[in-house]
Amino acid sequence: MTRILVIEDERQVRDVLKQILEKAGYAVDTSEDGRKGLEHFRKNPADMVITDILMPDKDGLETIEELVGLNPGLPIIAISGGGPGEKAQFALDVAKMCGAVRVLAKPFSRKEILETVGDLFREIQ
Amino acid sequence: MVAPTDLSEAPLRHHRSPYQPFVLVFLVIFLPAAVVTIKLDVFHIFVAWVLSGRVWFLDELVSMLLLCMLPFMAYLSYRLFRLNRTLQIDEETIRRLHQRNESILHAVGDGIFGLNGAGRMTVINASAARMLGESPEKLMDSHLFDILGLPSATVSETVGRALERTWMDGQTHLCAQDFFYRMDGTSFPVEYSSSPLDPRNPRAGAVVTFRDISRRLQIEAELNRLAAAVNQTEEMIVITDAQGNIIYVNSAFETMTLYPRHEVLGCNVAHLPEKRLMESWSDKVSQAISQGIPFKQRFPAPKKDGTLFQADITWSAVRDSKGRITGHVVVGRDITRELGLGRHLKKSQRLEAVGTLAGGIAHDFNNILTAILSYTELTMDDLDPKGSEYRNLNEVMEAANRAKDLVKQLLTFSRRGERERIPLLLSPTVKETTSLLMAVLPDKITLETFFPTEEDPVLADSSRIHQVVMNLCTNAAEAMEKTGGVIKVCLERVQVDQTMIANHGVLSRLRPGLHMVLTVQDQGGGIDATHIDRLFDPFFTTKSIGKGSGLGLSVVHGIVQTHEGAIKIDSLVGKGAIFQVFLPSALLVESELTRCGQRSRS
Repeated sequence: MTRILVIEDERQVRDVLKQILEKAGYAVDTSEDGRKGLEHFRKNPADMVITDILMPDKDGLETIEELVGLNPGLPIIAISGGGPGEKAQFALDVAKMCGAVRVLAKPFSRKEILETVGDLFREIQ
Repeated sequence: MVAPTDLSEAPLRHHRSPYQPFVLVFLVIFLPAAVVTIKLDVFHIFVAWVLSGRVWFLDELVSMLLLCMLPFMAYLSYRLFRLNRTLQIDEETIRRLHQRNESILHAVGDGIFGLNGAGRMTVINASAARMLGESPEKLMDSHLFDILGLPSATVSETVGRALERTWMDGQTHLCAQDFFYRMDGTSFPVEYSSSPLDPRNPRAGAVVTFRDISRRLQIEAELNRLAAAVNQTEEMIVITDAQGNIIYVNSAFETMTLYPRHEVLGCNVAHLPEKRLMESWSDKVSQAISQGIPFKQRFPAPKKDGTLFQADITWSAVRDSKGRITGHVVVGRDITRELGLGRHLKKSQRLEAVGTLAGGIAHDFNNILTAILSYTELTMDDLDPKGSEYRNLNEVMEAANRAKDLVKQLLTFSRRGERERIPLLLSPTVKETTSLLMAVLPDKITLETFFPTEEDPVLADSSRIHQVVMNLCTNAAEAMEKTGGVIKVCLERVQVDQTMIANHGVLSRLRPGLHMVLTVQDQGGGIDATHIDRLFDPFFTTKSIGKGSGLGLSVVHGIVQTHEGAIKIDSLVGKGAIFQVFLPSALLVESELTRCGQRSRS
């Protein structure tokens, strides 16, 4: 079964993403920050990673860089809630520079996240 | 010189026996004649005896003996004839053998000449004559010294050379490289061997076989030059056989990986990267090996000491003239340092990016909205669309979507409302902020301000500068929470030059020129070197839970970045920390703008 690792510090977002993806037929692992996410990935490599950007301990951008270092070509989706009065897309653009293949701004609908995940899997196959 | 004969000719064969006609003559003529003659003679003796009563025994006997000797004489003739024929055949054989040997001698690509006991040429083949640049006739009788380019007086110079040694010990000697001289005085490099004609008598003469190695030396020189270039290049080069087994690595490989050459030769290149990358690496390598598909890859490669370096490699197949893969070549370079520099740039962008997310409500609000919208959607899946619960949740969805739109509008509005940076003297803001702080700092912490130089205006947003001073001073105060001490705040004008920029990587964003530098120095415990790198990361804090969010320095970093400035930190554990914020003088910015304007106008 296709395995997705969700790295998100907000418990509710993490939980709801897990429910949405599991309902769509994916196996989902979750981690609450970048460091734990990387540790989990090293032990149980996933087929795709969805990660938040602003997280304590190790932010999403650093996490993405390290994930790409561990597994070049790993499909990574960066998600973010945007910023205060700054370019909301900026962090997501930097996420792409770091190695994320897709970015998605919060709040996203279930349709948007499932389409993004599905498209990405189709692309890499 | 004898013209070469056809070497394809059949080997020598014996001729049909030449004795048969003679035997035939002997058997058909002489033998019956002898028998008839003897019978006639016996009859003749008998008749003579009957008629005359006298026996002419002696005459007849002699006649009979002579007749009887005829076969022996015939036999002797036969033997003589046979001997003559044998000699004729042997001569023919020798002639043909000689012809064949001559043909072989002249057909050989290597030069061959024979020397007699006096060191003069007695035999020379076509190749030798060609290489020595004269006809064999002219070369015949030339002396060994002429070939070696020696005046006859310097016989001693031949000592140690292969020819001379053969002369001395009667052994075959090889010489890997020497020079032979032509009659016109030019020379060419040769490889030769000399063998004695008679090992028991070395002075009887010698045979020299040689070849011109000019082309080989030229190729060797080219190969050596190529090998030296490959070996000494800064790039790491690994050459493998068709199966990927390493057959060559250059010096750069040894330097980069710390593996000595002998330890990796024979290893398969598929086993080079770190274990956790092995799977994806092996797939690419096996494809490259089987199909010759070139590829580029960046991966962390292990050194012998267990550390990693970031390698950027290009894999190519090496093919022969028929397109078959005969090996592979992997060219790589260590980009760790480049990435380090790159990481610095990327890190600053990363911090700026994350900094934009930190400290605002939009991020939190959108997280909340994500939860509301998604949970509602999930719950609605399980409900009857015609039921009242479903309708109610639909209202929740609509409300949440309205909130989503509202956040977007607020963000757009706040972007529009961003204050523009204006030329600003920083000292009033610094003084105002420090006064505020002094009122709230604990008694054991004092705050001193210094303004030692004249001041240039800076293009700044005063509220942001206020936040910078506030956050840096709060951070300093928290560092001295237990011990107390003095926070020194200094604002001064500094000329930043290229040397300063080059010496401090964190100042690489700055342009040379006047800057206003805000320094905040504390007497706290200092910052561990391992923490400095992460100091501006959002959420990074060394404080205990509940004491601080860790976002303060991240916000400072974001503000300084937007003001085109830089932050330099100096700290030693136990000695406190010094934060220096460099902001370009508005005059510098203005002069840059003017220059740009002039350039664009011109």
